[in-house]
Amino acid sequence: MSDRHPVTAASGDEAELKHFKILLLDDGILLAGFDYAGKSVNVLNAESVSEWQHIVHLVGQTDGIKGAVLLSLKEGNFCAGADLEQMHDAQTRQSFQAMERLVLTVHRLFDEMARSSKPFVAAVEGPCLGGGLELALACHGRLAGTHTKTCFALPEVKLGILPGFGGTQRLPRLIGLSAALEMITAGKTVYPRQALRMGLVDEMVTSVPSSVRTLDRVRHETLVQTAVGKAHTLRRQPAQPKPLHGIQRLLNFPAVRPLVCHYARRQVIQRVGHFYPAPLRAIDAIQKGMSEGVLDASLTIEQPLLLELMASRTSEYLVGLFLAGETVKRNAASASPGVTRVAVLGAGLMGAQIAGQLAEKGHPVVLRDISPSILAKAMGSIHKAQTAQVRKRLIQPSDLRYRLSRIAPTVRIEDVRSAPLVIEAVSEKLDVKRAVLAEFESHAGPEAIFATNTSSYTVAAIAAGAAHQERCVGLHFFNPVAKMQLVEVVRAPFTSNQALAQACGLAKRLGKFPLVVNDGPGFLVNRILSRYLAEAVILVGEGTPIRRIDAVAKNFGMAVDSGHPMGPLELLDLIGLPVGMHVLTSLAVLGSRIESRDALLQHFLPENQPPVTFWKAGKENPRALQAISRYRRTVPSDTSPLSDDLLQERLFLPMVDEAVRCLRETIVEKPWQIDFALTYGIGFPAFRGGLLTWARQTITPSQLAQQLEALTAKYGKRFEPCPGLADGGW
Amino acid sequence: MRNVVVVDGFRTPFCKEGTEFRETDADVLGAWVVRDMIQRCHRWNLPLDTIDCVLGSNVATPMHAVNPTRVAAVTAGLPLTIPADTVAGKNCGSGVTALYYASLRIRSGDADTVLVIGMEAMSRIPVVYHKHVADLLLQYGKARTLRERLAGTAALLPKLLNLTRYPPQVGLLLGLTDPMCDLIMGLTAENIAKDPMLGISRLEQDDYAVRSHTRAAAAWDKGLFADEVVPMYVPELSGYVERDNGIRADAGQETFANMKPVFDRRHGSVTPANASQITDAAAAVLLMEAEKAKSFGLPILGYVREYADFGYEPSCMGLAPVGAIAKLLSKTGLALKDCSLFEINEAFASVVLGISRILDSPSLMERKFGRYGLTERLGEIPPDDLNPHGGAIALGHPVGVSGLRLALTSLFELRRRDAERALISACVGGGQGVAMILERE
Repeated sequence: MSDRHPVTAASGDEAELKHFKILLLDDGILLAGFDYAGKSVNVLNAESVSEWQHIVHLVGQTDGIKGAVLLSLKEGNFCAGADLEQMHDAQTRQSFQAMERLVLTVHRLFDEMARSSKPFVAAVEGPCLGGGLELALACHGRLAGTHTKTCFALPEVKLGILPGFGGTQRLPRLIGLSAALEMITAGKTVYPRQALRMGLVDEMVTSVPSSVRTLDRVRHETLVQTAVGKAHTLRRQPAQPKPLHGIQRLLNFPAVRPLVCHYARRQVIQRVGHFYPAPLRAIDAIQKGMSEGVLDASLTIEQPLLLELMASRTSEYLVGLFLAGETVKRNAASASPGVTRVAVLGAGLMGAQIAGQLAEKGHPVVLRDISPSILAKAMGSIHKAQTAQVRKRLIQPSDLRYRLSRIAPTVRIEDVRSAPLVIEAVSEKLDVKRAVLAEFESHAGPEAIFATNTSSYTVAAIAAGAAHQERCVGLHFFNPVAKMQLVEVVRAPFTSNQALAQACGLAKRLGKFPLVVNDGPGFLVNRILSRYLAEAVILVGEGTPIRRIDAVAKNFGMAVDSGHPMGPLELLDLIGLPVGMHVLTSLAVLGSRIESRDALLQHFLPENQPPVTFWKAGKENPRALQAISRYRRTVPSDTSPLSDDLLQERLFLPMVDEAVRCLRETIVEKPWQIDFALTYGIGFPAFRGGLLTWARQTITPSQLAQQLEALTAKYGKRFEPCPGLADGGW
Repeated sequence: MRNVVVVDGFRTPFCKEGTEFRETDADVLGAWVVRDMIQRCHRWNLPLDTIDCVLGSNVATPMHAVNPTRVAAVTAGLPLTIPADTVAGKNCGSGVTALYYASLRIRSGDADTVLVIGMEAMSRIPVVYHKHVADLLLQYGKARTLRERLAGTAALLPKLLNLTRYPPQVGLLLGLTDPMCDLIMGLTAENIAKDPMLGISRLEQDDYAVRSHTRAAAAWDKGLFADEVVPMYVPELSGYVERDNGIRADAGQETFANMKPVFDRRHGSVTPANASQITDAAAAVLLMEAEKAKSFGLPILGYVREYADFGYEPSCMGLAPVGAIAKLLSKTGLALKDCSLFEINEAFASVVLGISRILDSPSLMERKFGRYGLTERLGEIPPDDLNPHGGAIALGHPVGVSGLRLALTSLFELRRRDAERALISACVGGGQGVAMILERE
């Protein structure tokens, strides 16, 4: 009843609209509130686009309507872009007629808007992404509300496609070639202040969002009122394209454009190599389109490229992984009410980062360590990370105040007592972890949850002597915590649902993907990763050059998505050799599959000195080469050079074998979970769709088993395929 | 009558100006102690919304936070609904006054639980432009046209660079100078030291200073300060402080005798060694109505009793505590000998020496305070009961925090001695004195 509006545009129209609400104001401006039915965010698909088309027609044909304001009735979300589920569905079926029709409709529709003599104004509050931004770009005016969530981005290239609703054409015309290239090829997110400065929006409006999301209420928001005013202004005086300023103007001169585009291509290739075609195609579309009209360029240049990219495997995989992330979040049931106070035990590298993340999300944190100097260092590193955010203007100085004073460093275990959830991140020693658990249990209430951030022990081993085993759960963060989005939530047989749900909820509030895995040595990610790292070390011991091993992995695309391609040895340097060794040693329980070369690695660990790294300042570390040759004098082996293919087999096939074993042992149930975990956990290249998808695409199960058998014959038992590997089913 | 108890309290280590806390603003120091008090509340299972208000004490108000107590309370995680205000105007007496105002609120039934905090970041007091230069700067800010801007720059630059003619004002010195007599605090101390009636020698002052350092060092060595001092982590410097850092290991008659007087360089006797130190620190004390504290099963450190303050001549502000103590004793009907412990703030050695002498002498009392109606000799303070673990000369004098430190130190010492009553007092720049009685039962 409250949703019925006294003034509607034309009788009967409202009934047809499912995803929009409309309200004609007395002064002739039509408010169109986007409110996609059945989803928490607004998306553009055939349904919502046809409704918007209807509204655009209505505005164009009705004399009483003088202009329109597009706003969102979802609080904190303007429009998340195209409907990815629909797109992924088309991709898996490889049938794109419907998508093609949609794109065509949108091009015509946006062109109709742009040509309309009646102004359209977008009042943007909340994320305005992809197709949503392209919709806003098609409007005559754009206003940004200063809601904390408001941001603009064209993240299409991250999904293997390019902005296909005219974005590659309208954006460079509005903000200049160079700025548009930066937004489109990197999917860069722009916040309101920045958007105003670069001319993406006409005005930034400080507005208090209405908590009741009906047009009747929302129309009184400052943002919407300003937008209505803007529509009137535009009606009287249509907007002229604003001249660009400074460097943007310079870089926009027709003669300079090829240079700018060339530079952008080089940057893309530097960042992601040739693995991802989408950013390069986007640059093509932008460059070619600049000399034509928007509609023509959209239809003849952008659209074919979009359809070509959309039909590619890469895009299908990227969209699939994105949707998998949504599924992971949806599947992980979180408890309500969630915990607020959290205690972190151990203020080392991981503990400090976890505490910092918790404080960022508003949790009061007790950070406990037995050593004051470690605590001091941890507080220092948190302060440094947070002040960097202030410097980059990502947060306000007041946020820094809150975040830092929310973390209470302490050496006393009593301070942990009243926290409903503790995260244990003490040093990776089983007896230390058990002792900490016992100490915690002697102080905590029976309800308190104990989440261990172990990387090498099973939750069962740590909780073996616990009085309340049901409270123990694994919460395995990856380093660096701020960047790595995956968190393994480890369920031991005795873990209670409450503990699991609280751990998942916490991970979600930290903005992570909580992948629930069953307890087992190395859980999922480290277990598979260790096969890869161990083989790399063995290869080093055989005399294969460091740079070749890493080059093979980099050519494969390892960690390319992070913007910093990395081979296994560079990764070991990053993890820290002692930690890596420790994980390998503790995974010896997996049997002969993990062969660690401790004798070799001992040469890398001089006494009382930091470990020798494989790489130093971008070159092979001479000290590492010495260490290798010292080792090789004691253990001579065959030195004939290996082919790249063989190296790749030796590095990656054992991972596939281990992944299948994880499935058989139901560490996780679904192959896509493994694909997702490895992509987000160790940087397995997303364009290959994940480990198992890649394996399925390149090799049949029986071939895989045969190849592993061959490797076994040549190199030993560590390559033995798991029973039933050849039968497939993964 | 409603009784006011001190549930618990602690302070940060006292850090000399320019050391560990040099990067930390007063409101942040305050937030640290509030945060640690919150931890204690969790330990006692005391819900945070039991606290009715926060009362802070801070003298050098940070320009970005005129109510630093509120900033400290909210950022540290106390519920937003708990109001907070700051006592600033009582200078070095602010801490004691804040305790008194808090106890008044509890006695009147206006509140049951008040968190009192003190915070002072003397390292962070700004240096300000000379008035003339500041005017030009403001003018420049209003310049719109290129011509105005050029003219503004031309007028401003020479004056900005001429530090001798237009010297910047050091905020700390401005704050320590009394506008009623144009004397910096050190010179008011010289007025006491030079007073022939009091007869305080340089040697006596230095001796007193050495005594303060030795006592403080001994207290640390014996671990006595572990009760009242909580270690602090300094994220800005990745640092960790657990001890007061102003205590001089080399304190001794010979070293101190070599120090040069700073306030009256030629004829004076007040040196940096026999004056208190400029210090950054914070402290927190939780006050509660006695029955309520008992109902929550909380520990009780002691009771806040009566309070008195007294105004005296600004140029001899250091003697004002005599008046405050006399007024307090007559108000309570107690005598000096009824108190087993005295904490008198060591703003300067000459101040404490002067006060003790006047209290003990009928003639001095008559001469110094007769005109204000106080003539009676109050008695001797036994040296062992006066500042038994040193004072501001050794530990430092963070002006807004010192009052709370006097209260904390005396309450913990009462507990150690199993004694009943302590008297704390402090001189206040501008010619005032404050005094307060604290008891264990």
